[in-house]
Amino acid sequence: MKKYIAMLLAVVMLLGLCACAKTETPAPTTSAAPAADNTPQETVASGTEAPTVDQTTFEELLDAGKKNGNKLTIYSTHSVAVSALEAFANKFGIDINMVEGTQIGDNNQITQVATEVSSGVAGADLIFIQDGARTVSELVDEGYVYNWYNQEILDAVGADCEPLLVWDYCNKVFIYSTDYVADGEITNIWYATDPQYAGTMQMKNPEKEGVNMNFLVMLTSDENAARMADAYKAYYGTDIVLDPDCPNAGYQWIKMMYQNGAVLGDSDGDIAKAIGNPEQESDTKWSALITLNKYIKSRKDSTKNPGNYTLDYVKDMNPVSGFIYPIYGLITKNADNPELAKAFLVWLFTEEGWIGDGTTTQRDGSVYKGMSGRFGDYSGNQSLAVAEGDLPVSEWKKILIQEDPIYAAAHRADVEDFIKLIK
Amino acid sequence: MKKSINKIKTFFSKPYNILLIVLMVTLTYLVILPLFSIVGDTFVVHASEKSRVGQPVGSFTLYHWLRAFASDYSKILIWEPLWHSLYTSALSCLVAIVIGGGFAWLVTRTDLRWKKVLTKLFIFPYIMPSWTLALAWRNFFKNAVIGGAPGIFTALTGITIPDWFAYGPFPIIVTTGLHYSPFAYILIGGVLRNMDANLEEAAIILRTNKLRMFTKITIPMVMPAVMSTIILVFSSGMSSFAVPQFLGLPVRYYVLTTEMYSTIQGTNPGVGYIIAILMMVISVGIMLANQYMIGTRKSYATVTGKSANISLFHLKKLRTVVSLLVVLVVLCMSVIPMISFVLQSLILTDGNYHLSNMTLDFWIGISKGGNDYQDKAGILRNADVWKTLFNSLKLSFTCAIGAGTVGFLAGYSIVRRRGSSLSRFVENLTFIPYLIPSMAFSAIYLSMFSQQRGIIPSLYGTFALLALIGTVKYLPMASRSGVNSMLQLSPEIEEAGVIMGIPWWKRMTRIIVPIQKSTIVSGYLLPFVSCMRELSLFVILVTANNRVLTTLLFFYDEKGWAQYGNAINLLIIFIVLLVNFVVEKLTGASIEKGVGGN
Amino acid sequence: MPTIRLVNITKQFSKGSKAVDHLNLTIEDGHFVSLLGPSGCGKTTTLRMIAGLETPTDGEIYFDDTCVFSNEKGINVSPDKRNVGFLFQNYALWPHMTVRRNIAFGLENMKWDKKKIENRVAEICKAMRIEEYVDRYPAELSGGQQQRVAIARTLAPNPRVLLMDEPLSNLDAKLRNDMRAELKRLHKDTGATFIYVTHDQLEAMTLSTRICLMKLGVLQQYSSPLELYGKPANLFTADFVGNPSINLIPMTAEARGDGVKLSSADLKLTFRPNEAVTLPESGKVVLGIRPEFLKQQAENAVDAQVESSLPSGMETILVTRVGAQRLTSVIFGDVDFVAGENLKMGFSGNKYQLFDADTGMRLTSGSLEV
Repeated sequence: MKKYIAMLLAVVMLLGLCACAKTETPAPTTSAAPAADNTPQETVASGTEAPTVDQTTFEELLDAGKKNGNKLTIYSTHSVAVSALEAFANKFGIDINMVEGTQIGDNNQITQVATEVSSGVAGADLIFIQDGARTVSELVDEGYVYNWYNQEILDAVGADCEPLLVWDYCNKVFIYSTDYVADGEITNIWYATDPQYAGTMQMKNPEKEGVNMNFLVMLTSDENAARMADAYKAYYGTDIVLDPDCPNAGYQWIKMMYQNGAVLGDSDGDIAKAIGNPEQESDTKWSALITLNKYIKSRKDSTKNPGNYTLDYVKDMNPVSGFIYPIYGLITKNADNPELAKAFLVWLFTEEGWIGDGTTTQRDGSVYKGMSGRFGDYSGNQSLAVAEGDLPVSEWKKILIQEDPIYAAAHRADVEDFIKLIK
Repeated sequence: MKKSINKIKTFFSKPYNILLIVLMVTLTYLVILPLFSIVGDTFVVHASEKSRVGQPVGSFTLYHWLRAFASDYSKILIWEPLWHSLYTSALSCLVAIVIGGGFAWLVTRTDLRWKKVLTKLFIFPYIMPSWTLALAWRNFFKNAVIGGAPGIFTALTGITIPDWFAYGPFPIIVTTGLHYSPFAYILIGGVLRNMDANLEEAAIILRTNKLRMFTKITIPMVMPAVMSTIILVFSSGMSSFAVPQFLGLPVRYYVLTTEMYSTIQGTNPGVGYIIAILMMVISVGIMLANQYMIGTRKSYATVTGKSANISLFHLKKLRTVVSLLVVLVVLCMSVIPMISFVLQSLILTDGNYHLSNMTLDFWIGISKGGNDYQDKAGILRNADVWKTLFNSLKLSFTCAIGAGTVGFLAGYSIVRRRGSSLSRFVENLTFIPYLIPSMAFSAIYLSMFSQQRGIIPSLYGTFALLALIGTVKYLPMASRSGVNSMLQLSPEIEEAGVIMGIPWWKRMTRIIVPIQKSTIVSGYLLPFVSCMRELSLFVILVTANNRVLTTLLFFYDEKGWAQYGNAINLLIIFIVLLVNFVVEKLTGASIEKGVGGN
Repeated sequence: MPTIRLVNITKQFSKGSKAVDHLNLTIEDGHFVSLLGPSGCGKTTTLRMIAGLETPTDGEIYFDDTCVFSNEKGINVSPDKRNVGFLFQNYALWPHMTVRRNIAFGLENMKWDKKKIENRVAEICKAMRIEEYVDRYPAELSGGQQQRVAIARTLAPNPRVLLMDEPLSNLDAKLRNDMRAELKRLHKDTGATFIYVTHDQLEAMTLSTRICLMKLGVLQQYSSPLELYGKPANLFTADFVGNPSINLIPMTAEARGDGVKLSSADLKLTFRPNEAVTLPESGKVVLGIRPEFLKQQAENAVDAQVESSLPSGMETILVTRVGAQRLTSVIFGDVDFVAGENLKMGFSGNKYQLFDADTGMRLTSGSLEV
């Protein structure tokens, strides 16, 4: 046994050495911005602390990237990043067959990237990933991916460059069936624990999608828990009494919500369709927490096909109306072509990277439209316009809980274990 | 000294000795070593566990074992899934035996109508992927629990399906039981058909009434077949992943495999590896129990005799009614699921089955440039699907060639040296992968091959890893059929060639292979088809660049893209049926004959 | 004890061939009757029809005066009501039951009380000398032991009629001899009617009181064993019974006073029939000479040359040639001959058979003169 562990340690050390050797690539890996306490950067490429922001420009990166083999591989949880990569290649004269974008869910992507980088298998150069908690603890802390931005990105994105660069914000809101839930009926998050809504609140299974788990984790932060306690009083009229297993009001809500028969679905789209299905005959007061994007697409007045579902969402809920979480853009430690990856990243924060220029095509020949007209996706570059009718990120942030990847990483296991024990 | 060198020389002058040694070394590396590797992995901190264990990655820890067996979480992580696994598997056996055995009795012993067609259709689920019925069940009885529109049944009747009927143990048991009832039919039907009619005639002469005959003679006679059915269905049920994943998760009903998947993909792989070990222990336990039962004095392998025309039981007035009932059950098992897949792959808005809501877009539509599922190209026009299909075929082909060839050579060399301890050791080695549940096996390979091992680089995410695990996992099928067929071939046939001085490879290609053609072909066919419909073996090893059809189906399903999922499922079924049909027509070997191999 | 009567029994299987063709047979009470014939002659089918396991296509079966089967009257008494015992070729012991359970099973069906069953099982096991094995499973017994258990099981309910389907064919030669003696003893002790199917003519000869010889579903001869041997009804019977086989020599016959002049290319003999005979018009006959009636003797003999000699101690089977005609004979005592040796082979006694070559029927017996 001992021998085995020794062997394993040796392998790990060896990998560590490799890691050190690789980081000599010209990529400045840390930022100038003052690090928040307990920053993940500490583990990244120790000893290369650079005080200034990377000044390399897009053109330089693109040139270097083209010289470095033209090849670029990305993994993304979001399909638009894949389309964007194709458009990027077509636009800048990179052989389309040299770029490869693959859509992979967050859980699989984390396992895959961690294994690939740690074992030195060629994989992605750049990843777009949600679920900050696991990204921080399993990829960033381990040094498998690192946060990078240059001056151009910093100018466009600002504070959202740290701790991890936000490419895209997504938000989840509480939607309800307009057939069975009255307008203004749901105003307080504690409704989900109310017996009269038993078995009617749906959300995507947090064990299947990390960001939903992160939403629950964020509810348990001291600040949010205090707001939850206030909201409890507003809803039930009495001060909250915590169960022995619940450290604060956030936990209490999670427990009560589960025990109230929350429905844990497979996909936001399916949930939206279930809730707003005009053909259903039961008069259940359906509601759910899903992404705004899926809500908009399913809504009856949506211009998009199929969109005949009778839905609305809660605009102002006490204490929070939902969750806003980023999809981060990060570079892998063993990237074959970090320069091209960086160039792509810079381009993504431009307007044409976000919504296309109207002419550049994707692999299948259709014109790249990116995020244009898409509700519920907001560029890290907040100067880019949001879809008509949608709110800007700054507005959303006021009414939604934000994912703090550092806090979520630290408390994720606690909440997961807590949920495991709820019956 | 010289003597012993000569001895070694003589030993290696026999090709089968060389084969055995090579097999011993390779299989030890591919089968035994990984077992140690996975045990080691249960004492190590993995990246995703760092924050919960509070130790650096790679350091030694007892955390996983303590958490699995001595914490508040043991119940939820181990005992409950274990109980669920045992419970659903046991009851699935019951369903399989009642349905399959009942059908076997009706077909062999009564004047049931339309026997020929019915038996063909009844076998159908056996050829299909194991989750087929589960998917169909969900298509029909889906309710609001997982979100999405209600299923076909509710759409047609307006009746809302209760949770217990739509999800959880009940549908798992029914669909698993039905899926494996062809096993029961083939095994029990085989006994009933070949059973010495004299045994029953002797009872008739001794004035046994019909009921007593059935309970005291017929049932006990088929008991061995029932037992093998139980062993087969039970272990298949224990290692089944897709069915509880589709039908159990919505109501948080976890079995060992799904719990293992969620821990390995989630934030506690260490516990996942413990579950894998637990599953192996159970599987070995089942095998030992089986062998113990075979070893008891009551066993009777030789129940066959000359089978006279036993008089059929006349259903009389009930004949048509019973026949129609059987037709209904058989349709539910074979045809109706297909219809549900077709329907589900055509509709635009979920839950609306009007013709106006149907489209072929999910099959042949062109890409609309958007990023939502209804914007994607139909599966027959989607380059990704074609790539995946090609990958699947390539993988199945590789595994079939690998497992089939190695299995045949193993069978040959094992039989030639039968009785020696080397031969016995290799035979056991080839059999071990059979004992390891697919998902546990892939967990092992994940832990073993995701790092560089000696001269072997990390195979994570490569096609080679999938091919390797498939080959090793399906080796038992091929080697067992190889052993059995070689046992029936007398060594004199080859010895006649030896005396005439024909070299070994020529003896193989000109004498042994042509004689054993049909078994060899089924030794290739079985792994091919199994691989084509395999999910649990690949699901945690496949990376996005190496998807196969089954994992693509799983991926679409997780995303909630039901139309594509159903279309892909049909594609898989179509290929499996096509291959089976072609091979059956060409060689006469068929999947059904391979029962017991899987 | 009943007399079993088969009247015009015909059995036709679906494929069209007649397994049994208009069989008329009366099996008298207490007899040991063998159904003998080569495979496919319908003997097993006949047995199974008597038991009721097979339904005849046509005809009637009577147990005494009770009709148990009649196609015309629509009677078909089921096997369990015919009170017969049936011993199967492969014994058909239930593998999942011990010897005791196997034997007791039938008795339980007849609603005997426990004590009585116990006694009967003990008694029959003792009689069959299988007491030590009562708690074993069939798979743990040797072939001979299984055979005894099967007999015990069949005899336990005291059947009026015991039907046996080649029960000894799966035993080795020595065991088979022992079991034959056993069966004969059983027949004497029980006094039941035994109907016994075999293809082994020696078995039929040694065991039976009467033999029913069949060929292709048609009854050839139904008589006592010695009559079957001594007065075969036709060429088939003559050839089938006896080992080594009878010498059958095609010849031309010509009546010559009270004798018949027989001639072939190699032999010229005079046949003196025991009774008056009508020769076939064509004159084509077959002379049948049992090997034991072709003797090495000086008088009334022909010149023969030894072709082969197979001494077995008690007797020697000698094949000689007279011209091109090959003749088999049995010489008693430990004698041996050298191939090529010239001998005198002669005839004595009056047990030579003459058959009509066209119909195959036996014409008469008689003596031979050179």
